[in-house]
Amino acid sequence: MIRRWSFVFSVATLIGYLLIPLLINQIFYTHLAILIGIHAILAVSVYLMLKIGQLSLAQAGFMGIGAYASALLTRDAGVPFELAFFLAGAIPALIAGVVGPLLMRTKGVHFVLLTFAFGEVIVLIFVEWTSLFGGNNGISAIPPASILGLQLIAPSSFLILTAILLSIILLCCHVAFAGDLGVVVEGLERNEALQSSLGVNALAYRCLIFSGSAFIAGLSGSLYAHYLSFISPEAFGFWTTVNALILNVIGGAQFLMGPFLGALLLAPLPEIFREWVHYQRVLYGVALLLLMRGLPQGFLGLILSRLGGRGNR
Amino acid sequence: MLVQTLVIAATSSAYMMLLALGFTLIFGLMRIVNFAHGEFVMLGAYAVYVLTVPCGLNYFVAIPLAGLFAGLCGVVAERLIFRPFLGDELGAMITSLALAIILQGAVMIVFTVDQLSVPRPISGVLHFGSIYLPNDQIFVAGSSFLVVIAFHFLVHHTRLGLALRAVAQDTEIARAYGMAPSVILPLAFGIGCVLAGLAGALTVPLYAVNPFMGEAALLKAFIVVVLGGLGSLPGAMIAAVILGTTDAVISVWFSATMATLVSFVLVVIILIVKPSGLWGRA
Repeated sequence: MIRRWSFVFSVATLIGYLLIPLLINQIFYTHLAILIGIHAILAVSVYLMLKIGQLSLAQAGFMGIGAYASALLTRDAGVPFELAFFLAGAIPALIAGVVGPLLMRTKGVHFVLLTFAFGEVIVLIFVEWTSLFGGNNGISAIPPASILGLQLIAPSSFLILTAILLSIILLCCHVAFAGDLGVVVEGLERNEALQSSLGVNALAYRCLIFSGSAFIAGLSGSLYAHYLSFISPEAFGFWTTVNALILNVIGGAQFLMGPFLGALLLAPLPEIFREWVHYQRVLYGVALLLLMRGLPQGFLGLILSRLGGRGNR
Repeated sequence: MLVQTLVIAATSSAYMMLLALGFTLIFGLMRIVNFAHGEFVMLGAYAVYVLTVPCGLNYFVAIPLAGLFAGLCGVVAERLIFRPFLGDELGAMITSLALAIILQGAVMIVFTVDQLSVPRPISGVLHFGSIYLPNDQIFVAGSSFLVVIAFHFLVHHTRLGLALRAVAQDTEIARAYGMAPSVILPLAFGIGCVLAGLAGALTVPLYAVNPFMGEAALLKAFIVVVLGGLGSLPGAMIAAVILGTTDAVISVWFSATMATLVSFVLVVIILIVKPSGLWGRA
C-alpha cells in the first residue's frame, strides 16, 4: 500500500515540479526549477554509488566531462545536440568503465580517497589543457539545446527537457532496482562475500553501477553547459560533489526520491539569498551535522517513518 | 640545478610529511578520514595572518601559537562533533565534510574571500658558487623537519606516544590496561591538527591565504597517506619523501600539474599491486 502511495507521491511531486513554475510563468522560478533539476540529476548519480555502499567523490568530475564534451562537440565540431547529449553521458561512462576496475579494487575509505584524487585530476586537466578546454576562463558561447531542429532558448522549454530527463532517469533507476539488479545491488551493500559465493561477479556489477552513475552525472553536465552557455572548471570541483552528497543526506540517502527532495529543499537557497551565500555555507554545514546526529535517514525517512513504512526504495 | 631541485624536493617532502602525519595519525586512532584536515591548515595560516598583520606580533612567535590554535580547535571538534561517530567511517567522513564547510564559511564571513598575504619575514638567498638557495624555503624545510623529528620523538619515546600507539593498535585492550580513550583520542586529534596548523603557518609567507587553500593541502595529504598506507606513520613519512621528490623533480623539469598527475598515476599503480598501500595493514 505504502509502496503504491509513495509511487503516486513521487509522480505527483515530479508533475508539480514541472507545472508550478510553468503556471507561475516567471523566469526566476523557471530558472530555480532548472537548477533544482540539474542538481537532482547529479545527486541521483551520487545516490547510485551510495546504493552499493560506496561514496564516489568523482561525480562532479564526470559531470564536468559531460559538460565539456557536450559544449565542445556542439560548438566546435558541429555535432547535433541530440547526439552530443548522448555522448555527454557515454564518454564519462566509458572513462568510468575503464578506470572503474582499477578504482573498484579498493572499497570504503580507500575508494573515497581515490575518487577524490581522480576528480581533482579531471579538474586539473580542464585547467591546464588550455588549448582544448580554455583553462580557468572556461568555454563560453555554448549553443542552446535543440531537439529535432527546435531550439530550446526559452527557459520554460528547457525546464520541460530537464523535467522529462529527470523523470526518465528516476523511472529507469526505479525499474532497474525493482528487478534482479536491485536484489544483486542490495546484496552487494549488505554482504558481498555471500553474494560472490552465489556466483555473482561483484566487481562487474559495481563497475556497472559506477559507469551508470558517471553516465547520469555526464547528462547533468550537458544540461548545465547548454543552460548556462558558459562553463569553467571550478564548477566541477570536489565541493560540487559534496553538495550533491548533502542533497542525498538531507533528502534521505536510502530513497530514490531522496536526492530530488534534497534538491527541492536546498538548491534554490543560494539563488534566493544571494547576499547570504557565506552564511549559507555555515548553515549547510550545521544542517548536515545536525541531520547526521538526529535524522540520519533524512527528511524523507522522517515522513515515511511517520507513515509507518519504508516505502519506495 | 641538481642541488636546487634537491632543496625543493626536501621542502615539499617536509611539507607533505607535516600534512600527512597528522592526517594518518587521526585515521590510525579513530578511523576518521578527516576531510577538514585542509581547513586546519587554513586555520593555522589565518592565525598567523591575524597575529602578525593586525596584532603586529613577530612571525616566529606566531608560528607555534598558530599551531596551538589549530590544535585547540581540533580538540574541541573531536569532543563536540566526532565523538558520536566513533566506528562509523562513512558517518565520520560526512561529519568532517560538514566541519570543513562550516570552517570555510566562517572564514569567508570574517575575512571575505579575498587573498591575504603576510610579509615575508625571511629574504635573500644563500649561494655557493653557481647554486642559489632561497632562505625562506630552507627555513620551511628545516623547521618542518624539526617538527617531524619532535613528533617522532613524542610517538616513540614518551608515555603519551606509547599510549597513542597502543590505542591505535587495539582500543579495547588499551582501555583494559588503563589508558582512557576519552583522553587519548581528543589529544591525538589535537596533535594531528597542530601538525596541520604548523604546515599552514610555515608556508603562509610562500603562498597567499584564502578560504579555499585547504583543498590543495587535503589532496596532498590524501595522496601521501593512500600511498603510504592509511593509518601508518612510517608509511606516511616514506611516501612523503617519494612523492615530494617526484613532485619537485617533475615540477622543475615540466610543470606542477604534470607533477600532480604523475603522483596520482604512481599511487594508482602501487595500489593495484598492493591495495593497502606501501606500509598499510591489510
